[in-house]
Amino acid sequence: MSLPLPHKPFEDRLAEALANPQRLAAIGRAAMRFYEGRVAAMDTLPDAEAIRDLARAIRAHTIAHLDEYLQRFEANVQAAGGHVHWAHDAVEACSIVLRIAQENAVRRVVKSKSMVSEEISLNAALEQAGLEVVETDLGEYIAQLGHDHPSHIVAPVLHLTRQEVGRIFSERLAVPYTDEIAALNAIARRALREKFLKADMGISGCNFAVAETGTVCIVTNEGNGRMVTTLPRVHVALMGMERIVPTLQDLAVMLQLLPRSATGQKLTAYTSLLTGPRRPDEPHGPQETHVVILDNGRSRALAGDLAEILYCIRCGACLNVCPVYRTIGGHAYGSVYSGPVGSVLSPILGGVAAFADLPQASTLCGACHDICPVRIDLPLLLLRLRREVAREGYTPRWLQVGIRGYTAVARRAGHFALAARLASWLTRLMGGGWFNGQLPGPLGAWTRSRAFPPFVRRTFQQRWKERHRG
Amino acid sequence: MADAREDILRAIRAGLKLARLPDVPAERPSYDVPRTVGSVAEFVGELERLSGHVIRVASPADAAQAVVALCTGRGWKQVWAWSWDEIACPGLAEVLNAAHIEAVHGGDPADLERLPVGITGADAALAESGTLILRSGAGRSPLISLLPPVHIALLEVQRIFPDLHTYLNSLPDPVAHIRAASNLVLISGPSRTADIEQVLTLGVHGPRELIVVLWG
Repeated sequence: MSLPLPHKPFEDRLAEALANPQRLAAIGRAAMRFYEGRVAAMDTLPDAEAIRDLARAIRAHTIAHLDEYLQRFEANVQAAGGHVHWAHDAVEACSIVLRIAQENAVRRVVKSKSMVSEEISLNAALEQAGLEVVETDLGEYIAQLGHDHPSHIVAPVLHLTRQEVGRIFSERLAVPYTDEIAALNAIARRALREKFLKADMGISGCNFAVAETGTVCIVTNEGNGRMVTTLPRVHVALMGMERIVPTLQDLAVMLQLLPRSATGQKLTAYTSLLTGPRRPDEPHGPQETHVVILDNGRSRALAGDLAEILYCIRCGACLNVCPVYRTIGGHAYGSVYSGPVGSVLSPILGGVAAFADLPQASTLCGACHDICPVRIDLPLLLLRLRREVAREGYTPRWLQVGIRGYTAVARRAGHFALAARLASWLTRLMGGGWFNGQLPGPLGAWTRSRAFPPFVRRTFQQRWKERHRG
Repeated sequence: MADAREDILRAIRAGLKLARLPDVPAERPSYDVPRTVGSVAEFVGELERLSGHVIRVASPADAAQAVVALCTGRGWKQVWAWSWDEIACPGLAEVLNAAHIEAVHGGDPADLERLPVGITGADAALAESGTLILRSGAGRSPLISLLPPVHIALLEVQRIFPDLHTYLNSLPDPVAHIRAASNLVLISGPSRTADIEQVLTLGVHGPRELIVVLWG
C-alpha cells in the first residue's frame, strides 16, 4: 500500500485552489463540456441503461473471481510470448520495471498515460537510476516540462491556459514563444517524434486486460499510446490488478461505455489490442513485452465494505459531474486520483490518515452515482469511509467534542426539547439584529457569505404536541 | 520477489471471503447486446464527422486510380505501403508503377517516417463509430497507419460491420483471431487531442489526415 502523499493540509490546498478563480473557471468549463459530451454519446446507444447493467454485472462477476481471471490472463500472456510480473506495492513495481530496463540495457524511456505509473511514482524511480523518461501524452508532457501534476484523469492539464503552455514550451524547449494552439501541438509533435524513434523502452498503462486472450487493451486519441507500444524494442504495460475483463465480448461491452463516459466519443481515435511481442513474420513491433500486475492496497480494499470501488473503469465521469470537483479542481485533492472516485481510492491506497479529509469533500448529492457507467454507489462508499475516519480517530478534535455534546443532549427527549427552545431563542436573538445574521469570532467564517438562519419560534416538538392536543 | 504472485493471489482469495460485492450475478453474464443497424452511409457519416475523408468508388481498379490521383495531385513520389497481397486491391501495384510512384514496404522506421503517406488495407470497418480495424502480420506494419502525416486505407464495402460485437461474432474463432497478431488497432478518425484548452487539434502524434478509399 502506497500512494504519493499530499505535501500540505487540505485547508491550505483548498485555499490555494480557490485563490486562482481563472483556473477554476477553466476547470468548470472543461468539466461541463465533458459532461455534455458524455450525455450526447450515451444517447447514441440502443439501450444505454441495459448496457450499464450488463457492464456492472461483468465487473461484479470479474472481481468476484479475480484470482481465477488473473491466472488465466497470465497464462495467455505467457502463451503469446509475453512476460508477467506481480508487485505487492509501489516500491516492488518500480524495481521490476527498473530490472527490465537494466536487463535490456535501456537508456531512453517513452511513456504513454498511465495512472498506475503516477500511483507508484515511476518516473522518479527511473530518473534516479539515470534513465531518461519522457511523457508523451500531450497533457502529461506539458505537466512534466512544467514540473506540474495532472489535475484530471482524462485531461491532465485542463487547468492550464494556452499562454501558460506557451511559456513552458519556450522556456523548456528553447523555442520562440507562441500561444497558438496548432503551433504548440506542432512543436510537441516534432520534439516527441524524435523521442519515440530513439527510445529503447515504452511504458503504457492498461485500460482492460482480456483474460481469454492475454491481451492488453489501451484507448488513446493522440497515437502516442500506439508509438510507445510499437516503436521501442521493449514494451512494459502497468496494470492495476482489477483491470481484468474475462472475454473479448466483455471487452466490447466495456468499450461501448469507457470512451463515451470519458470524452463523449463512441470510440477513441485509437483502441489498441496488444497480445505478446512481435511475431516472427511481423515487420515491426516490440521484441519483448511485459505486464506488471499491481496490488498496492487493492486486495486490502477487496476485504471489506469498500470493495465495490474495484468495479471502476477510470472514465472520470464522476469528476466532471461533481459539484465539489468543479469548484476546487483536481489539485486540491492532493492525490493522484481526484474527484469522487479519488476520495474513495486515495484513503484506500494511501491510508486513511493522509486522506482523512477527502471523504468529507463531498455533498453526497449522488450525481456521481447517477453518472457512473457501472453504477458504483460512490456516496455510500464515502459514507462508509467517513465512518472509518471517525472510528480511527482522524476526525478533528473540535468536531469530536461537538458531536459528543450533541449526542449527550439528543439522547434524552427532555434535554433535546430544552436545547431546541434555547437554540430558537438564541438564534432569533442573533439573527434578529443583534449580530445581523453574522456569527461572532472564528464562527464568523461560516457567515461571511451567508446570513445565519434563525430557528423558528416554536419547535417541531411543540407544534406536534399542540396539534395532537387539539 | 518470487513469491509476490502467490502472496497476492492468496490475499485476493482471503479478501474475497470478506468482500462486500454488490450485484454479483449467480452465473457468468451471458447476453445479447442490442445491435446498432449499421450501413455504408452510417460508416461514411461517422468517419466524416471525425474529420476523416471517404472516396467512394465502384471497383478495385477505380480504387487504384483514386490512390494514384491522390499521389499525383499532391506530388508524392514515394509511398510506404502494406505488401500488395495484404492490401488486396488488384491492380494497385501496376498503376502506381505506371505513374512512377515508388512503394516501400519495409525498413527502418526512422527512415520510413519521413515518407508523406502510408497506404494500408483494412480487415474490417465498424459503421457505428466510423472505425477501421487493422491487424498486424506479415507485410502489415502497424507503423504505416501511424507515422506518416497521411493515412490512406483501402476498404471493400463488404467488410463494413454494424459494430464491434457483430464483427467479433462474424469471426469463426475470435480468440484465435486476436491471439494470432501482436497488434490489432481500431482506428476512428485521424490522431486528435484537445489537451490545450480543450481545443481540438488533429495530427498531434499520428496522421492528421485519414482517407478511406471505399470500393465495391
